[in-house]
This record gives sequence, C-alpha cells and structure tokens, in this order.
Amino acid sequence: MQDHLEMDRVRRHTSARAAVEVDETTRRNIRLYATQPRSVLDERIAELERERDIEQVLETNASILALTGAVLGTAVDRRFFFLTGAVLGFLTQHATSGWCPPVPIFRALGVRTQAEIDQEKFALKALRGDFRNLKTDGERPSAARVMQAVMA
Amino acid sequence: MQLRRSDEPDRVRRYTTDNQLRRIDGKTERSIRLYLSQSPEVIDERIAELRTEWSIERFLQLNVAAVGLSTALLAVTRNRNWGFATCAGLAFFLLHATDGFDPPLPLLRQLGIRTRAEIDREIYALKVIRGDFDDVNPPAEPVARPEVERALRAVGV
Repeated sequence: MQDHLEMDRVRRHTSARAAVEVDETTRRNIRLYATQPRSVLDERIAELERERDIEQVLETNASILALTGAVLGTAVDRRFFFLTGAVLGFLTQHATSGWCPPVPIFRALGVRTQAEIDQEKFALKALRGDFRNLKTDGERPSAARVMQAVMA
Repeated sequence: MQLRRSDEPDRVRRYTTDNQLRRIDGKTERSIRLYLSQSPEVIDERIAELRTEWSIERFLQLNVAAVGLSTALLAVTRNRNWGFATCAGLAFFLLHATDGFDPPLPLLRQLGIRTRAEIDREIYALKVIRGDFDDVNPPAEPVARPEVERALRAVGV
C-alpha cells in the first residue's frame, strides 16, 4: 500500500485487492484523459468535483436505514429503534476508525475516498498545465498564484 | 436558512456563507504563504499533519450519531414522542448527504472546519511548492507517455 495515503482511514480498512483496483481505475483515467483535447479534460475535472465520495455514499445509506428504523419505531413498534441504534453505532465507529459493515461492499463497487478522487483531479490539473510557470526564474511563486492554481 | 449556491459542486461549500468561505480560504492561503519559505522536511511534516486533519464529515457523522442515539434511547425507555426528534435529526442528515445542508454546519464552518477537498487543496499546493510537479508538463503530442507517468508519480498512484 502507498505511504502517502496510509493515513486515509478508509483505505486502511480496504482489502489489498480492492485498493489495487481502485488505484488501477485512477491510473487508467489519468492516462486516458491526459491526452484528450482541453475541453474534454476540463469536463472531466468538473465531473471529478461532483463525484460522490465514500463518505457521502455511506451517509446516504446510514441515514435512510436509521430514519426507516426511527419512523417505524415511532409509528409502529418501538423495537424498530434497535435498527436505528445499530446503524448509528456503526456510523460512530466509522467516524472514529474508518470502518463500518458497508465499507467493503462500497469499496468493492469502486466507490473512492475524496483523497483518491483528488489524486486523479490534481494529476489532470498538472497535465493541463495549471502548475506551470508558477515559479518564475527559479524564484518562489506567490502564495496567491499557488492558491489560484489549486482552486481553479 | 442561508442562500444555496446552485453552481457549487462541493455540497458543504454550497451552504457556506461568503464570509465563512473567505475566512476558510484565507486560512489556507496564509498557510501556503507560511510554507513557501520552509524546507522540504518541514513541508513533509505539514502534509502529514493535513492528512490526519479531521474533515467536517467526521464531525457531522458523530453529531448525528450522538443526537440520534440519545433521542432513540429516550424514545425506547421514556416516551415514544422522543422518536420525532430522532426522525428530524436523521432527516436533516439525509438532506446533508444528498444536498449538503445540516443544522450544525454553519457553526462548524464558523469554527473553520474544512471539507476533505479543501484540505486536499492545501496538500497539493504544498506539493507544488515542494516541487512534486516540477517535471510535469502538458503532453506536447497526443501520446506522451513519460509526462503522464511523471504525473502519476507526483500524485502517488
């Protein structure tokens, strides 16, 4: 596993095989879009900014399950609150350690973490030339220009 | 409720006020300025620190778990009407997951808590400063393998 993402807590709980596949997808995308016309590259970067990361997918999943338990618990039988309790218990575990039962499933489906999405985004930005000419004549670039380059 | 930026792809930034965005981005830019004159080793340390910075999603997940678990417990042991509070909290969290807004969001943003994408922008700005992208140029020809492979190495994939 790569050292630069070792602190990504979802990756820590991703099977080696799933991680290899996720990375292979990222590499394939970078190689594919790097040589496309500028407009296609721009569109891909915009698309990456809209890509749903694993936190968003897990939050949607958890809130639907827990809300179903709470509605049924309030309206039908209070034992349904145990579903809410279990889901929120796992969400707490996810927030603190990075793992909860649906993580392996979503990872196997190729859902990426924000850090993984940003690897592709910033590789494509570099290949688009966003970070070129920031350093003029070996001088240090200005903070404002670097900021502008990463925000663009 | 504040305005919704319909053209903003980041769902948390979508519901952050202009003032808060200025402060959060200003903090990132100040950090970039500070590390411009630092050695690569100091920048390495800062990047490691940024990787472990808590993103706003973790705070929001813990918040909804605390609210939901406590009200669900009261609904089971005391009065079932507490269940309405559980439902409200979870409905807001579903709204957060899909569109972005969540009641604790304005407070957390006021405190300067960042999204993962915002933290990653600082990480990549520091990598640019460190020179990770110095050898990465746009491919001159349709198929320029070395450039692309250098970009892969620079982001570490």
